[in-house]
Amino acid sequence: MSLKKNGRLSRREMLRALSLAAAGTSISPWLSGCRQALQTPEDVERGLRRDALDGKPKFLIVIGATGGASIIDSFLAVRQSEGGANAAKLNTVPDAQVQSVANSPFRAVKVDSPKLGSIPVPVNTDQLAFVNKYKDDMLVATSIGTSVNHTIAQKRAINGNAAWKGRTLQECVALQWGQGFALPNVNMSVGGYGERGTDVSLPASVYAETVTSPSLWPLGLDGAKGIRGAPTKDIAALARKARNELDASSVFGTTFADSDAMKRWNAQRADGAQLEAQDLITRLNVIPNMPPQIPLTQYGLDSSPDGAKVRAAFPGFFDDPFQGQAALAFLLLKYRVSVAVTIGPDFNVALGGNIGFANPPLAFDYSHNDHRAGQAFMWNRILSNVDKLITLLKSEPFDMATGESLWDRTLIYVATDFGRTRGRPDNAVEFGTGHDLNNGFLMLSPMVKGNTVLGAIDPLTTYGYGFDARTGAPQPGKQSSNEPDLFSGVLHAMGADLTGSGLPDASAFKNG
Amino acid sequence: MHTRLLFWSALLLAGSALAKPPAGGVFCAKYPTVPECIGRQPACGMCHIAAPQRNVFGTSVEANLAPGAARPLSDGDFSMALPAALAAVEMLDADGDGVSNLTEIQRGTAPSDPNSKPVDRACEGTTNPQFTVCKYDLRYVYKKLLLDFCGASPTFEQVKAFLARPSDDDRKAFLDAEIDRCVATDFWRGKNGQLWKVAHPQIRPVGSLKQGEDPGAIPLADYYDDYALFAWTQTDDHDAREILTADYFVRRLGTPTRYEKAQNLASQKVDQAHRAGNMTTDWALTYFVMFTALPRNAASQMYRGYLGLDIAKQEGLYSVPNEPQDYDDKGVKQAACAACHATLDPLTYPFRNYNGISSDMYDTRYIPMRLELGFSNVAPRIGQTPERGVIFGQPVNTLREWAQVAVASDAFAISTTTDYWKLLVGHAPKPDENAEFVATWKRFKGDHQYRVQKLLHDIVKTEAYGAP
Amino acid sequence: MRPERLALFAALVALSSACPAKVDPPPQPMVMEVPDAGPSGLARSARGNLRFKGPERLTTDFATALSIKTDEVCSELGKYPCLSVHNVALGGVDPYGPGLYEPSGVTAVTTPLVVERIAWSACSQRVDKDLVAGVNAVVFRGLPMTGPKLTNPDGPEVTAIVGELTHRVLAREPYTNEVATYVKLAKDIEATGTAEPAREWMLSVCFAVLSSTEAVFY
Repeated sequence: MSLKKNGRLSRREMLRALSLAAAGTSISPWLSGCRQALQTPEDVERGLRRDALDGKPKFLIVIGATGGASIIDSFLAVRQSEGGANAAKLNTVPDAQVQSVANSPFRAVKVDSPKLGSIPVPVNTDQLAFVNKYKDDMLVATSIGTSVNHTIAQKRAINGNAAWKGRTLQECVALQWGQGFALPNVNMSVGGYGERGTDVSLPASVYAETVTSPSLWPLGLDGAKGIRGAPTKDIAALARKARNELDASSVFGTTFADSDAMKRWNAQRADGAQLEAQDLITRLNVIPNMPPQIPLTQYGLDSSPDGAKVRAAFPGFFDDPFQGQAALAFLLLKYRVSVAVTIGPDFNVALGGNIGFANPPLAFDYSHNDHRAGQAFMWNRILSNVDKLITLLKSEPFDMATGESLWDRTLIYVATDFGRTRGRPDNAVEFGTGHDLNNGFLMLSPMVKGNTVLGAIDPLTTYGYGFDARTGAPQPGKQSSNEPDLFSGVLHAMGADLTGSGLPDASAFKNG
Repeated sequence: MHTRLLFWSALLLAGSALAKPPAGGVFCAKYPTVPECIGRQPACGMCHIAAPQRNVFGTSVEANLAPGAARPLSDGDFSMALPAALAAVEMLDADGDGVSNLTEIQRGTAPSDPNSKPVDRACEGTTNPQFTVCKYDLRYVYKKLLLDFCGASPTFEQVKAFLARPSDDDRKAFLDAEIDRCVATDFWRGKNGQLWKVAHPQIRPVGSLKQGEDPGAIPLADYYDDYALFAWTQTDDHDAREILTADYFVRRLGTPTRYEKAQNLASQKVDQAHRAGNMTTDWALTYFVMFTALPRNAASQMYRGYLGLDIAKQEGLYSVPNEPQDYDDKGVKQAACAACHATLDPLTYPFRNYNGISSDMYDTRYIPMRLELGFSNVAPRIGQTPERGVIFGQPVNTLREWAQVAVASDAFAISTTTDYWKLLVGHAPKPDENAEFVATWKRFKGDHQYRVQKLLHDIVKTEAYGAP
Repeated sequence: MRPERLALFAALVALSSACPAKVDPPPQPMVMEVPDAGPSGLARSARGNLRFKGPERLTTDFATALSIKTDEVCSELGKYPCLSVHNVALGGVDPYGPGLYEPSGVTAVTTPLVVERIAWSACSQRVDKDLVAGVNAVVFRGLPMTGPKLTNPDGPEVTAIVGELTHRVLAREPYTNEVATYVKLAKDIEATGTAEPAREWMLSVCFAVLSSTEAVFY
C-alpha cells in the first residue's frame, strides 16, 4: 500500500483483503494471540473504573444527520389528503406511502424511486419495520432552530444555542459521567457537530478527542505495541522515565513550564498510560488479522475480541465511514472508554453496501437536488445503523445485578442541522428543497418517554409547532425557538444533575 | 448633544444604509481607539452568549440601558441609550476577574470572561542559557523560521554557523534570505503544502467530488485550480487581492512546484468578462452555488472565507434599507431572519447570474437572465432579483465590482493577515499582540500593497513571533 | 524473540567478537554544566507560546536527525505510513475526506502515544542499520561491546553517542545531567536482564531524545 498522489492513504489494497470478511464470515482463526490477557469490562470497572461504576455511568451517542434530516419525511409525515388546498404545492406525501404505526403517534414513510436524483441507484426504503421495532423507545420533538447555516445550526443542535454556558451535550455528559473514563468524549463527526463548546471552565478531559479514521485510529492507542523493533514494556518504561525526568528539569522544559501546551502535554502523557493499561489497541481494533495485507499478529497485534460481532453488524466498516464510526462507537461504550460518542455521515460520497452506494454527496443536503428520494435514502441510512447499534447495545450486559443492558443506559440523539423548505411544484415527486428553521428531532432510549411526539405538525402548512417542555402539552401556533428545551430534554431524560444550569424544565422528555 | 453626535457618527461608521440595531457601531463611536474597533467592530459575543441571551457584561449593560423604558427599544432609542449604559458600567467588573470593564475594553480582553484579562508580562528568574526570554531572540527565531517555512529544524552545524555570523544585523539579513529561500520550496507552496492549508477553509474541498487529478467517485469540478490561483496570489511579487479579482486562471506545474498564469483552462467555464477570482471558479459555482437560485451560501462563504466575516455569527452586518425583499419566497422577512438577511441578500444579488449544477440547467458559468431562464418556478418574483447589490453599505452593479470593494476593505487585509498570523504565531492575535497585529495588517495594505511575501517578513519580525 | 530479531542478535554477537576493526566513535561533545539559575530560578517564558511540530515537520525532523528516509520513519503493520494513519492525532488536517479543514491547534490525548510509536520505529531503523554497518555506522558507532552488552557504560564512547544524538536531534550540546541520566539508563537496562542490553540502550536513548518535549515542540 502506498500514499496516493494527494497524500492520502490508498485503501484499495486493504479493501481487497477486507472484502473477504465483509459478509461476517467466520473469523475465529484470526482471534488468537493475547486475548487471554484481556480483562473484561467488569474487571476494568472493578479496578480502574471503580469510581465510574459507583456512579453507574450513562451514555450518549449523538448522530449528526448532516445536511438536514426532515422530520416530515419520516415520523411526522403529512398525507396528501390531509394537506388541504395547498397539498399539491407542499411537501405532503401520497397517502399510500405514509403508513400508520399501530398504537403509536408515529408514521413511517415508504419510498420507491428508480434513481436518487441524477445518481442511477434505486431507492427502495420503508421505515415501518424500524418504527414498529423501536417505537417504545422513540421520542420525537418538534423544533424551531435559529440558523440555516449548516455549521452554525449543527453546533446549536448540540449546544442548544449556548443554553448552558456554551457547553455541548457531549461535554455535559462527559462531565457528569465521564470521570475515570480514558476518553470520556470521542467525536468522529464533522462540521458543527465536531466542534467543541465554548465553556472554557470545563476540565480538559471532557473536550472531545477527534477521530477521523475510526478503523485505523486504535493503532495509536499504545506507545510501542505493534512497532517492530520496539523494546519490551519494562525497557520502554525505563526510557520514558529517563526522558520525563530530563524533560522536567531541562532548560527547555523549565523555560516553557508555564505554557498551556506544555501542561497539556504532560497531562496527556499520563493519560496515555491509562489507554495502554486497558489494551485498547486490541480491544477497539475492528480490523481483522488478514496477512499479507493486514498482518496484525505478525506485529504482535490482534483484532478486538468483539471484532467478529462488530464486523458482522457493520460489514462496510472500512469502506463506509459511518459504519466504521458506529462500530467504534459500540466498542468505546462497551469497554467503558467513553460516555459520549459522536458519529454521522459527512458530505462525501461513500461507495459500498447492497447497491454499491452508501452516501450521496452532501448527505441529507442532497435534498437540494432530489428531496424525496434523498431524504428517504439518508433516513434509511441513519435508521439502519441505529438499528444495528441498538441491537449490539442490547446484547451487552451492563449490570448483572439489575439485569440492565448497555442499551438501558444509553440515549441516541439524532441531531440534525435544520428542516427543509416545504414548497414543491404542483404534485412533483422529484423536487429540490432549501433550508428551513422548522423541523423535529429524534431521540431513542429506554430513558426517554417512549412512543411520544412532543409538539405536532399542522397538516395544512406542514410546519410544526411547539410544546411545553415541562408538561409536553402541544402549543398550537408556538413558533419561537426551542433549542434550549431540546438540549435540556436530552439531559433531563438521562437524569443529569442540572443544578445551576438555568436550563428549562424539560421533564416531558423523561421516561417515568 | 454628545449622545446624539455619538449616535450619528455610529450610523456613519456602520455604513450609510444602516437600519438595524447598530450596537457595534455605537460601541466603536464611544471607544474608537480600543482594539475591538481598529479596522473592525466587536462581534455579538461582546455582550451576548448567543443573541438575545446576554453574558454577564451584557446583562450589566442591559440593566443600565434606558431603565424604565418600555421594551423592546426601537433601534434609535437603543442607539441613543447604549453609550450611557456603557459608561455606567465602566468601573464595574462584570466577570469578577479583578479588572474593571473599562480596562478590559481598553486592553482588548473580554469583560465577560474571567479567563480573559490583560496580561502584564514580567520576566521571571535571572538567566537562561538557551533563550533570550521576553525579548526578540534571533536563535529562537531561526529554528522557528526554518520549521515554519521549510518544514525542518536547522541542524547543529547550521545553528553554529548562524551564531557565528558577525552581527545581529547580519543574522537578521540572513533570516530574511532564509524566508525567501523557504517559500520557494514545495513545503510552502507545493501540493498540500502550507499555502494549501491556509486555503482549505476558503476552498472547502470535497474529495469525492474532485475532478481531474485524484478524481473522486462523482467527479464534478477540479478545485486544484482554486488552490493554484490561491498559491499564485500569495507568492513572489503577486497581488493577494487577485484571489477575488483575477480574470485569469493559474496552472500548477512540475516538481518543484511552479505556477503559471493561463487565460483559459479546460476545467473552467466562466468567460473572462465575468471572472472574479476564486468566487467564480468551476468548483465555487459547483459547490457553493450548487442547485440554488439565489446562492446566499456562495456570498456568505466568500464573506467568511476571504473577509473573515461570518454572518451566521452576526459579524459584518451592514443592513440595507427595505431589505430583504425575499425574491425567492424563503420567508427571510421574518424578524428572526431579517436582521442578517438585510445584509446577506443584497450581498448575494450580484451572484444571481452565476449558475451552478441544478439539474435543469447544469452549466457552471455566467448566464444572463439565469433566474428567468432556469428558475422561474422557484417563486413568482424571482425574476425581479436585481444583479445590483450592496457590500459594506456600498452599492455594486456586478460581482466584479463586489470583489473590488471587498479587497479594498480593511476586512480583507485583516483577514489575510490573520490567516498567516495563525499559521506562523500559532493562534489568532491576542489582546496584548494587538498593536503589532494592527501595524502589520496596515503595512500589508499600505506599504506592501498586498504582497504576502512581505507580510510574512513582517510577522516574523514581531515580538509575538520572535520573543519566547 | 522473533526470527528476524534472532538473526540480528546472532549477527551482533558475531560482529562484536569477530570483527575487531576499530570504528571511531563520534567526537566528544562539549558537555555543558547544568545552568546555575540562582535563587530566582531559570528565566521563564511569559508568553509560553509553544507549538507542536505536527505530522510533516515531525517526520522530516526524525528522518533528518537519524539519516533515514522519511518513508522509513514509521509505518503501521509495515505498510501504512504513520504520517497518514495518525495524521489527525499529530495535529494535521483531513480536508478532502471528512472535511477537517483546520487543525485543532492543541495536542490530543493520543498524540504522545503516537509520537512514541514513531520514535520507537525510527530509532529501531537507525539502531539496527548501525549495528550491522560496522565502519559505515551513522549514529551508533565506535561503541565498545562485550557480546550484547556495552563494555563500559561510563566510558567516553557512551558520552559521545549521547552528544551525537543531542547534536542531531536538538541542535545543541548535551548537559551533564543528560549524560549522567543516559549512563544510568544503560545500567538500569542491563539490570533488567534483557538479552540485548546494548541495543536496547541505543534504542532507548534515541527514543528519549527524539520524543522529548524539546524535540517535538518549538
